[in-house]
Amino acid sequence: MQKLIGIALAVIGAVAVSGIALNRGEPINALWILAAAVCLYTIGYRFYAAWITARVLSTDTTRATPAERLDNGRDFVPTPRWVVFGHHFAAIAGPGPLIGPTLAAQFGYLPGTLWILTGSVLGGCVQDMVILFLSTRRNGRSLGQMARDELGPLGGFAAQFGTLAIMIILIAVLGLVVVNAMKHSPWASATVFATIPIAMLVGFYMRGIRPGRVLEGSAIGIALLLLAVVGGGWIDHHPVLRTWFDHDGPALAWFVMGYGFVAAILPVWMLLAPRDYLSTFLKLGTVVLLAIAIVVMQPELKMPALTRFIDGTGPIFSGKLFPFVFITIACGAISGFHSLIASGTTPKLIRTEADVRLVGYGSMMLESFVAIMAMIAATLLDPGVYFAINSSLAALGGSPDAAVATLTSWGFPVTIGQMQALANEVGEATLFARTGGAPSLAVGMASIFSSVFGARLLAIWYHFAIMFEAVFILTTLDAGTRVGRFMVQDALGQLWEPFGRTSWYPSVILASALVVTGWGYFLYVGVIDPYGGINILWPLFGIANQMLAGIALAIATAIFLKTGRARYCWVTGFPLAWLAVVTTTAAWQKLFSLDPKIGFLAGAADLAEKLAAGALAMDRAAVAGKLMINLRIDAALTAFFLLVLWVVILDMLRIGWRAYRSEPLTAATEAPYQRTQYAGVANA
Amino acid sequence: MRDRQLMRVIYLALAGSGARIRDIFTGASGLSAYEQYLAHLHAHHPAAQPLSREEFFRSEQTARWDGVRRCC
Repeated sequence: MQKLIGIALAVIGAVAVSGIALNRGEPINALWILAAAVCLYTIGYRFYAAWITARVLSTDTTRATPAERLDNGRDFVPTPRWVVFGHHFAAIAGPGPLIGPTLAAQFGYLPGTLWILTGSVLGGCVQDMVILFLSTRRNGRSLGQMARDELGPLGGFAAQFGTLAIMIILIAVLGLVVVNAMKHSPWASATVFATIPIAMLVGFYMRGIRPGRVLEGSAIGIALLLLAVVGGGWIDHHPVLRTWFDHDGPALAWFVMGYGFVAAILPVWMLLAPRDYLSTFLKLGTVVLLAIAIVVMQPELKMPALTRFIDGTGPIFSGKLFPFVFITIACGAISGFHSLIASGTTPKLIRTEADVRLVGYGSMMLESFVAIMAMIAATLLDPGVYFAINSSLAALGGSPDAAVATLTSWGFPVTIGQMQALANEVGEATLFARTGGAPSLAVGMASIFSSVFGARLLAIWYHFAIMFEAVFILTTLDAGTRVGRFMVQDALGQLWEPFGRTSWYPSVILASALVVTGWGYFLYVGVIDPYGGINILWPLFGIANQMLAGIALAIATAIFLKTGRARYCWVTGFPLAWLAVVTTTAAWQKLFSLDPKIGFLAGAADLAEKLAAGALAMDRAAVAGKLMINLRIDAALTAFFLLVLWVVILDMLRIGWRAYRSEPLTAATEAPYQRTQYAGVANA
Repeated sequence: MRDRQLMRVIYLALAGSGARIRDIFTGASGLSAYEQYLAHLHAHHPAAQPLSREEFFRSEQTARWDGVRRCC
């Protein structure tokens, strides 16, 4: 019976995928994509993941997990499988899978969709599950510790330093997305600002008024957030109040930096923890609501399967389909960041090794599904509208008039009137050049929601979507700055001991300031960049994230090679090889491409030349110096990421070679076998 | 009409997995942490005096945030 279901799924999946691939020239329904996704995930989960756990990992249900052996009721707690699933999913899912697919839709719906599906089933889900399993077998050790134990001090250092660098870039790019969504939008700004006192109110409620009552506090918070969305609309219509919330990019960037700094030094209960509760509930609620709305609405995709921009001339970001679609969509297909979660808290909750497949592979499937929905939300817009929202004006000729002319000449017709009508409907002054992905996703989500739950409320739904993304992003920004602060304090503590004390205020302030300066710099330059900044920062983030995934997969492959599972090493070795090819090609092009739109160094040289020749407009000439320095720093970072990736891969190959030659290796670090005491589990 | 049937199917699917959904929400938010702690203390250290809900929540909230807990 199970086999019959499997075969039926395979057939439906194959029909859906070929339906997507072959249906050229006419619009296709989003349901095909959803069907293909669900079938592929199910096949991947039932067959591939089951095969990996049984044959490659050899999960053993009689073996006691660290949660059972080290149970202390706090961090090591044997937890029911669906509860661990929820915990893990909430931790791995952030704004990444929403933004990446939105940007990658410039190539058409097909490349991104195929990469999200295959990348997750064969790469991302496998990485998350394998790292979760390996960490569970090692008492919940972190990725950095595993790198040191299994590869050596060099690999360990690379993993740790890479983590800090990726954190800085991630926060900068997410900050830029929020700033671009709030720029000159009193409604969006007022709503996003309101989330801060609301989170603090919930914090005080859960701390002082009704301690520990998370559900009550969160319910009040969510109600207030919805009120803030409506209230923002009222402020937007008020002639005086609206000017208080109407700010340009640099002002908002300074605000975000100040906010990040304060959030990193305040006690967690005041801002971080309550915001996290709110964002978790919003996240789960909105994901479910969006899935239902897409199934009910059954929208047709208006974006072609492939656009002309696969040749690398895209207005949203430059670069050819290969390798840049694989860099742009990191989260949702394969995300190295997840390996930090899969090797941190989650393995300490796993009750039995049988749950590793659901928690590791299953959570990533759901995240990938979120990415698919983001892709649908981007591609159901009129392509002309989609490009007008997501491209900077500089990339389309300099003004809205030039932009619609350029887009229409490219075969994506759009008019000023159409854009203005849409902007009026969603309650914004303009939708031209709202780069970063958030506004376009919000328009897509708003049109899905409003067609299902009430067409008159487009403006409310739009600002709900903006608020939803901002809450996500600010949560990552808070938490990331804080983690960065701990890392810097740890490093400084090795220079002078008092700096290592996590609650010594001079050290707290210094370390927080260092971290905020790090990402604040990239954020600020992104804001003043006339091309929008996203086109530079997002690929850098993608490269960093894939580098981290490469490190995680290299650790897993090294462990397979060391423990006599060399014939299965392709399970992680194949995605690793693919990532190495993709990341190296992308990094190489970002460094050495002669096209100033792609290569960082060529871009800097081009700016210098134009500046010297006086060929730049006044406003661009004013910032050209800063942009040039920034492009060179970006180039140095890219080179560093590339170096780290290859150091780790070569370290892994060295271990493989020694294992092949039967030379002595560092001892296995797996915790010794102990039989589980759970009745029934061992026989299950 | 078709939409109404679809809604019904979705409703039944959600209702059928109610316990599962509750578990997912619980895990995502850490709602049942205190109950788990009490159960653990009861099972392993029956003589110990448990923390109150307030005390537990305070110590737990600080401990929850000392590492990478949120992703991209």
